[in-house]
Amino acid sequence: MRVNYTLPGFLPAESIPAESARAGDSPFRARLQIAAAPAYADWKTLLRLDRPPVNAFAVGPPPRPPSLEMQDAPARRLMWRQMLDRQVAALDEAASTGAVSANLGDRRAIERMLTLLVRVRDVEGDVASRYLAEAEG
Amino acid sequence: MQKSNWTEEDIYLIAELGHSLHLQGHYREAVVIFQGLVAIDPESHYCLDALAAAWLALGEPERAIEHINTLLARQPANLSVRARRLEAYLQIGKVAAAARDYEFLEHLLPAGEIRRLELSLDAARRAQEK
Repeated sequence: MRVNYTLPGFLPAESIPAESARAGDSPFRARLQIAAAPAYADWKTLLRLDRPPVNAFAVGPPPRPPSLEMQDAPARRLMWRQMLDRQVAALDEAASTGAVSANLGDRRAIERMLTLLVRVRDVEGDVASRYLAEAEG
Repeated sequence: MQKSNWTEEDIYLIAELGHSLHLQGHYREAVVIFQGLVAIDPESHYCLDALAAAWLALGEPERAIEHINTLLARQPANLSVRARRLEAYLQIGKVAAAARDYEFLEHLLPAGEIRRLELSLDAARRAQEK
């Protein structure tokens, strides 16, 4: 059986031809200057996250040395820890042998920085071990 | 100092942490890190600029200007550093000095950025007149 869903007198009208099809006419649409959509590389560019915020104390990321290869997070963490251990050991050695050549202000600034970095490393270690303990149940 | 003990990669890894702390609003810690890095490598443009930015964020524009002047003595045409100094001058009410930096930057910075500085300068001038 075939069902006819249209009602007599309510047949769908034929599609109206587009304005541009009218010869000799000057439709408003033709006057619009529609800019082409800009081609963005990725969503960060689209949201302008690649641009540092503009204010008095905004600062961008440090320039990456070309010699530093891209690494995954664990390799990077290992590299970070080894670097810190090496620098703390060098500072301790220099202090014990009296081989410190810098002026006092510089030496104190470096000691303060290393103390802070060691504290950051310890906090990171605590967080990581807590996470692992929770994951193991 | 012991620059010989420090590689470019070491300095980068620490600067990256300093930048991250700065973004998180831990400006005091960022200052400690960048002060250490400047002591290691006083020629580092990035570390001096980041230290100046952290001092400004902490509301210490005089200290920021000290580092900015060091940078500008090396690179007088560095626009972003000069714009930072302009804002530091405004923070301490040195409107005439800020206006000099503004004149330098006026036709060199992008329109949006120079407009923002212009508005800041106008606001400082009006505040001074009152």
